[in-house]
This record gives sequence, C-alpha cells and structure tokens, in this order.
Amino acid sequence: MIHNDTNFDNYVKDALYNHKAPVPLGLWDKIVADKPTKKPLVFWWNNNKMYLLTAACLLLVSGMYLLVENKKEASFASQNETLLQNNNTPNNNNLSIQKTENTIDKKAILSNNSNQSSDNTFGTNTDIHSQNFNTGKTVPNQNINKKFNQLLLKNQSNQNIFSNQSQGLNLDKNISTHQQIDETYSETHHTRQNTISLTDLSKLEPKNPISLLLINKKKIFGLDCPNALPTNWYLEAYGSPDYNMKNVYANGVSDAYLQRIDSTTKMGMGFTFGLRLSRSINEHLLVKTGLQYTQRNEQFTSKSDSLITTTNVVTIRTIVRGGGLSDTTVRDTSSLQQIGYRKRVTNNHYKSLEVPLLVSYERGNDKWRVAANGGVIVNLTSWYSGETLDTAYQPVSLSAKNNNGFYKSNLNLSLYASISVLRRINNNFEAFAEPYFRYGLSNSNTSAIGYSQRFNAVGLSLGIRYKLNHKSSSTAN
Amino acid sequence: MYILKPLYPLTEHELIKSCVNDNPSCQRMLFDQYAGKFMSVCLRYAKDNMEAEDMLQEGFVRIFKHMNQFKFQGSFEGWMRRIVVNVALKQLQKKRLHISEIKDDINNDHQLPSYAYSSMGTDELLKLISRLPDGYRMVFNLNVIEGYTHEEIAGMLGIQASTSRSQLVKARKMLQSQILQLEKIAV
Repeated sequence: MIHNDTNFDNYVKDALYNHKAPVPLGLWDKIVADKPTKKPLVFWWNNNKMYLLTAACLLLVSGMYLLVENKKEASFASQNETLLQNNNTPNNNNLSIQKTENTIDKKAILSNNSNQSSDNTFGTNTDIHSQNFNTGKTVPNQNINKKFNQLLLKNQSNQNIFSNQSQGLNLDKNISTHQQIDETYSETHHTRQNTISLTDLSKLEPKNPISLLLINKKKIFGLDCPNALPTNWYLEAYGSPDYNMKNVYANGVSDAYLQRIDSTTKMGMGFTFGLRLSRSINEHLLVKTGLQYTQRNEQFTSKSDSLITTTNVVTIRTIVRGGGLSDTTVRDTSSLQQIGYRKRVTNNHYKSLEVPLLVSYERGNDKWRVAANGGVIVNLTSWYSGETLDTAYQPVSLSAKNNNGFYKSNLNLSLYASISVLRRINNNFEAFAEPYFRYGLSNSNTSAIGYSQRFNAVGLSLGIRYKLNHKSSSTAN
Repeated sequence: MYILKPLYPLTEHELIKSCVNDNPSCQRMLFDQYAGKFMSVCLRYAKDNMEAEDMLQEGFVRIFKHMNQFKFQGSFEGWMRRIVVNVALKQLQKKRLHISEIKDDINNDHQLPSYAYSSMGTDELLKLISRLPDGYRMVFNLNVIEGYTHEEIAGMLGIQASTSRSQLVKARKMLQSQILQLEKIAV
C-alpha cells in the first residue's frame, strides 16, 4: 500500500513539477505596470509628511535663532543694568560717580517735564538727555519713570561701562568738569529720593542709538512684568538602559510567517544617550530639544537544514576457543547517525539618531524638583545590522550597505512621556532620574516586507543638568 | 545598465545581476524562461485560470522586488518557486482558506494499479487536483510536488503537522478514487 502510494506520488511529481502551462497573453505588460519603480534620489520628494516635518524643523531653527538673539539682547541689557540700575533698596538713595582722579559728587536730577516725558523711557532718544537733565536745577520728578523706576548710575560699574566705547556710550573724557547737574528724583508713590550724579550729561551722547534701544527694551518689558525671572538655559547630558518591545502586525503576509518571525526573534536590552538643551519659558515650563543616539538590540535565532553526523564504530571481539582451536577475531562495524539542526544566533542592532522635542512642567524647591515631560521624538536617520527571515523563510542580511528595502532609513516619529526627579548638587549642577515610556507612532519597516513593525520602549534616563546662564542671572539679581 | 537585449547568452548569475539592476530586457528573459513553469504551479493552487494569473503576476512582481535578497546559495529556480508558492498561499489565505476535516466515504480497500494513471495526461491530472478541496489540494501540492515536510507545511498553513498528514492521506485517496472513476468511464 505504502509502496503503491510512493509510486503514485512520484508519478504525480514527475508529471507536474516541471510542467509548463500556457502563459496568458499580456501578463508581462501587467507585471511591468505593477513593478515597483525606483525611489527618487531625494527621498522626501513625494512625501507630504516630509514637507510638514521640514516646515516644522525650519520653524524650530528660526525659533531657536530668535531665542538666541533675545538671549544676546538680554545679556547686553543686563550688563547695562549695572549702568542704569534700578534702585529698589531704600538705603541706596544717593549714589554718585566717583572718578579716581577727581572724585566729584555730581547729582543729576532727573527732571521730568510732564509734557515731554509722560511716556518716555530712558534713552529712547538722545533728546531726553538734553531736555531732561538741566544744569543746576532741581526739579522734582512727578510722574516720570513709572516705567523704569529710579535709574541711578552706580559708581563702580559706571567707570567700567562708561569707558567701554563698544557699548555705544561715548562719555566725554572731561567728565570731571565742575559743571554740576543736580537732579532730584522723587516719585509720588515712593517715599525715597534718588539722585543720579552725572557730569555734563549733555555730553553723554549715544554713539549708537540702537544700543540704547536695546537697553530700554529690557526695562520696558521689565515694567510689564517686574518680577519676571531671567530666562534659564540648561544643558542636559543623559544615558538610559532601554527595554524595547516590538509590535508586529500582518500586512499581507501569512500568520504562519508572523509566527515564525516572532519565534525567531527576541528583543534584548538597548540603550540611549544624548544631549538636550532646555530653555525656561516661564517659572514652571521648559522646552527641550537636542540630539540622542538610540540602539535597540534583538537576538535572531535561525535553524539551518537538518545536520546529519555519521560516526562509524568498529568493535573487535576475540573468541577464545578451547581444544587446541585457534582464537577467532570478530570485527563488527556499526554506524551511529545523529540528526539535528544547526542553530545560529545573530545579534541584530537597530540604531537611530533622533531629535527630542519636549515640553516640561517643573515644580519643586531649591533642593528637589519634579517634572513631567512630554513630546515627540523625531527619528532623523536609522541604520541596521543583523539578519531576518524573508518571505521564503530564508535568513537574509540586514545592513545599511545592502539596503534590501526591509527597513526605513528616514524619518519616524515616537511619542515620549516621562517623569523627572531632579536633585540639586550645587549652584550649577543638578542630577536627575527620568523614567520614561516611548510609543512608536510609525512603522520602522517598509510595506514591502509584508508586515508592520513598531517599537515601544520603557527606560530610565540618568543624567546631569548644567545651568548655562547661572553667572549672568546671579549678577542680574 | 543594459538597455538592449544582450547579444550573448547570459549565465544565470549575470541574468540575476541584470534583473537586480532593473534591466527590462533581462527581466523579460527571466519571465519567458520561468513563466510557464510557475503558471503550472499557480494552476495547481488556484481554483481557475484567472486566480492563477493573479498569483503569477503577484509572484513575479515580488521576485523582481526581492531579487536583491537572493544570496546565490542554492537553486535560483527553487528560490523563485518558493516565492510563487508563498504568494499563492497568501492569496488563498486572504480568501479565508479553511482547512477542515471532510467526511469522506472512500473505500480504503481500493488499490490503484499503476496502469490506471500512467496513461493519464498531465492536463487531466491538473484538473483532478484542482477539483480537490482547498485543504487537501494545498497539502498535496506542498508535500508531494514541492517536497515540503509536514512540519514545514504546518508552519506555512498554521495547522498541526498531524492535520497535514491526515489531509495528505485523504487527498491522495480522493485523487486515486477520481482516477479510478475516470478509468471506469473510459472502459
């Protein structure tokens, strides 16, 4: 019966294995029409998402540029604040310029003609100096400088700053002339009186009006928000062990293939490290961006065809026979056959360069702070190495060089959520721990592979945060 | 990159390389060389010519798309055939291929003499195979003609290896029974 079945099977196989059937006409044309075309050289050519992302990147870059420019202006203004410092302490009512050679206490009283300076800001134009500072007059100030309070020249810093020609203020060398300008400033709602000592302020002409505008900008904004905190910039360096999870969904391939993929691969621990730049936008909110490197590791186990090992065993026996008969030697040859599979383990690596775009809400005290972070992680580029199964269940190499169209090398997006706990180490440094969850929004592979693969991850970032503008903010305070 | 059909006969290696480089004339050569065989493969899995044509079209598209994955290890024809078979299975699974036990009352005692099928034409044999129920046909094709083991078939179809074995036995019996009936009619 079995023999009969084998014959029948062989007959069918011989008849059909190499059998050729007529091919329908026009099939080749259909295949040509259906064949995938080569990708354009510019990978985002026909990709609307890429346009959006490019626009977002441009916005981000221009935003960063503006922030940096603002920062420059703010630092410039804070330097000039030492020149025109807001005198909020009641004890510092009278200050004077003191030169080393000629110590002259010259009081410049900011006079305020109501018709001229009701909405003036100091130094908005050069006329203010010439009109408001009157030689030898003491005019009570009624309503000027509500916007910028009491501006005094601080003696020590004035010497430095006034001598600095690059800041646009050209103070005459003859500052020590005996012309004395006394201007008394009094503010109706403040009980203190402040005086500014200047020498020949009419000669205090701005060389560069723009620089004075920059000085005033800070003060104008300061009026609207007198208690505004200085903008803080931080640099964060971090590293994290990641536990990655892979979700695979069928997109054309059979369930059996997916099961095979699932059984041959096992995700291992990965890691992430990077640098982030943070900027405070108010007391509690920060925006963060930077660059990070992520590596996901996976173990791929493939079984090759059955491996047959044959060992020949020769057994020699000697039979001793009595009665004068000679001994007989018997040689038995047997073969031991072992059948098994060759198991090969390959470590797959999925590596990415990414840009985190995060918003952080932070609260706490001087020592401890807690922050909730959220945002997206934009995958700039990815590259791969290792092996996977093709649809014919054959191991196939994954590598950036032999791009086989399995995986994307361009942009992907992930959602990111985390909680940070920060501990202050000293004035400049804070240490933080940040458990996070990362959810993949887009597939890491192409549709050609027949299934969709996304990575999610949980991890714990550990790092340090350095306050970049610690010195400038402390001097401003 | 070749634009015109090469004047000299290409080796298989050269043909594959040219196809990977998207040479249309070489791809056409490959198609002409193997389309007949693979159409026969598809006909064995499909219910009709239209379905087989769809399978073959999809199969060649996939072959050209993934040809760069061929590592020049083993038979190229075998590699292509595996793709075509997988495409055929995938298309059948899209149609919710259901492998179920079919109650049959075929007499086990029938012994099919070899002369009964030795004179049978290939086209007739193909027709008989195409009349088998889906599950029987898949397992019979994969095991008897393509040479897959029951374990491999189980993995491909998502069934138990024992189910594959029983389906094969029943498929064989059904086919032999049909051949006997044809023989009786002829007599």
